[in-house]
Amino acid sequence: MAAEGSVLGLAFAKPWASAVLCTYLLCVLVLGWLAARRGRGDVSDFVAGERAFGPVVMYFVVGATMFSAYALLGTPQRVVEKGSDVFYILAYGSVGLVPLFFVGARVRRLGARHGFVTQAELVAARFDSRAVALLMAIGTLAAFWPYLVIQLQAAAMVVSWATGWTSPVWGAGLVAAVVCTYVVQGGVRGVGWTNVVQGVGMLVVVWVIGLYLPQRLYGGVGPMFDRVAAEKAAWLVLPEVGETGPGGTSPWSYSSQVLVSALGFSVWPHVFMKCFTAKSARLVQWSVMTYPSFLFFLLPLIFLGYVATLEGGPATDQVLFWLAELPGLEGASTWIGAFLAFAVLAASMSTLDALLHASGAVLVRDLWVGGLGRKLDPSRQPAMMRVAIVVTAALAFMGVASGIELSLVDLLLLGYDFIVQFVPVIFIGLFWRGANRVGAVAGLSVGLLGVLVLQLVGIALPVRPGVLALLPNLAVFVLASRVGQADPEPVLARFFDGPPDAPKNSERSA
Amino acid sequence: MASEAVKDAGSGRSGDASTRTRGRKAKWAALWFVGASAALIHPVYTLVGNRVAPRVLGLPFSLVWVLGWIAANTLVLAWMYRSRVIPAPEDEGGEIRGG
Repeated sequence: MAAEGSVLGLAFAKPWASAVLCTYLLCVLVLGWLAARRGRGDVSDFVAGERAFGPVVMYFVVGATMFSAYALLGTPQRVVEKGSDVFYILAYGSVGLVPLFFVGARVRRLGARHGFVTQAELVAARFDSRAVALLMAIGTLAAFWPYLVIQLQAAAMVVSWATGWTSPVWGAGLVAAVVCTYVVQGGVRGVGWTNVVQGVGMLVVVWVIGLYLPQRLYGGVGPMFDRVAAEKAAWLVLPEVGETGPGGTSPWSYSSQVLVSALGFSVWPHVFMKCFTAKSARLVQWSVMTYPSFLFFLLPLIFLGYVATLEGGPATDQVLFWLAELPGLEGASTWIGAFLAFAVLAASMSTLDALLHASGAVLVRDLWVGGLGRKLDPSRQPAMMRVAIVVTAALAFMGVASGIELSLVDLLLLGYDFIVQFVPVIFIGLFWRGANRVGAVAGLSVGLLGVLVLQLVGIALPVRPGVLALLPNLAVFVLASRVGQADPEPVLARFFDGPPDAPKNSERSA
Repeated sequence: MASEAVKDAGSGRSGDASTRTRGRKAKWAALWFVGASAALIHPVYTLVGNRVAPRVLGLPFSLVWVLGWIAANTLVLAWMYRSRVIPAPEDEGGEIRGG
């Protein structure tokens, strides 16, 4: 690797990688500053970008937000550990956003008509219930925190790798500060614009390196898979029923991962909220349609995982950087490392920004105003959200600084367990007039408490706690709604009896 | 979840023919995605997709199967988008062309 360099008295273990990272961080700061100069700066602008995001920005907001540092670090790691079990990410991704195609247009419409900017606001208004807002805000924050810590941990790891600063505190602090700056300044527009740069950068880097390494080492992707088939065939398919494959994978565990993730995917609040951000209801559908193309971006990462499998790489989150230092790459090694570092940082930041931004809105709109019923003039809300964003970032930073050992996969799945509990109130609540407030509150409480209890008890379960808690959640929700009275007619009218859904003049040909 | 969404498309305030056709299309689309999800998990995936051969462009079939479903789902979504299976009014100035 390149020799150590020093700038302004600071030593950098990998000067080129450090330079690439610094350039990138400066770029996003400038973009965030530019984004802040647009728009009115009120609540609708700060949270939903005046509901005016166009197709390109929407594409990258949805795509880059979903591709967290976990996708970059965890995908190759999972190939080494569990082989073809990793395809589950592609499998759930192919259907995960589809529910938003069915409901997204309606959600956007309701948002524009009634001024909703968060997921919980929509659901709480449907049931006219403060408790629903409170429960959803708590569930969201419980799911967000580990997710935020993962992203910061990954960012810290990359910065440590490039600079040689051993403590994760510096890297995590630096990245948290940069993300906070552009989110606080630019709001959702800052998130959107930087996500375009981060998304394009990730795609290019990962494809180039993902095709280059197999080519250089084995003469192509095909020959690489020939070798995997010959030497590590168990890494290409799931085991037979009743057997366990590499890393303990099985058809059942694979399938339950696909199901939980597919169910929960579209109700992550920071994703769902983007329905309010789109310029038109139609654009929400367009985003769902184009999203799967982003999934192909996982392919090169899967290729890299198989390279590591053949070369005996470690089944840890550091496996990408282990690849960069493979013998036989000589000069290319420096650049591969530098650009991989950039890609991981971009991935972590493009998720971090959306999560921080959403938690600002959730804390202020859902927890404080919606849930606890405190009065807060809308004109003061953006300022409070900025404070909430900084506080959330600080809490996540403390998670990293405290040095807790958390596995990326476990954390992410824990988040899904909480989030999946929103599925009944959102999808059934939006379409079934009979669903009532008591059912919603009871269902949510049972679901969220259930996940918490199952986590605390910590017994080994054959299925995810989220799935297990979802069943009583759904049962209580439906039962209470059937037994009890429907919600008052004026409340329902807001949701079900708006202006006609399909005026004739909207039947223009596409 | 999709089945409730279908009601949205088919709720037919006026009950006219185009709304009903749309509702029917939405039902088929929802059914397609339920089927597509089933194809990606046990037992369909393990019976049909989960094998190394035939290889396509060098990739193992277990991977090609999943990629094929992503492509197919995208085509169905594109059809749903074009034929406006789920109503999306208030789309003033929001028509997307190309990309």
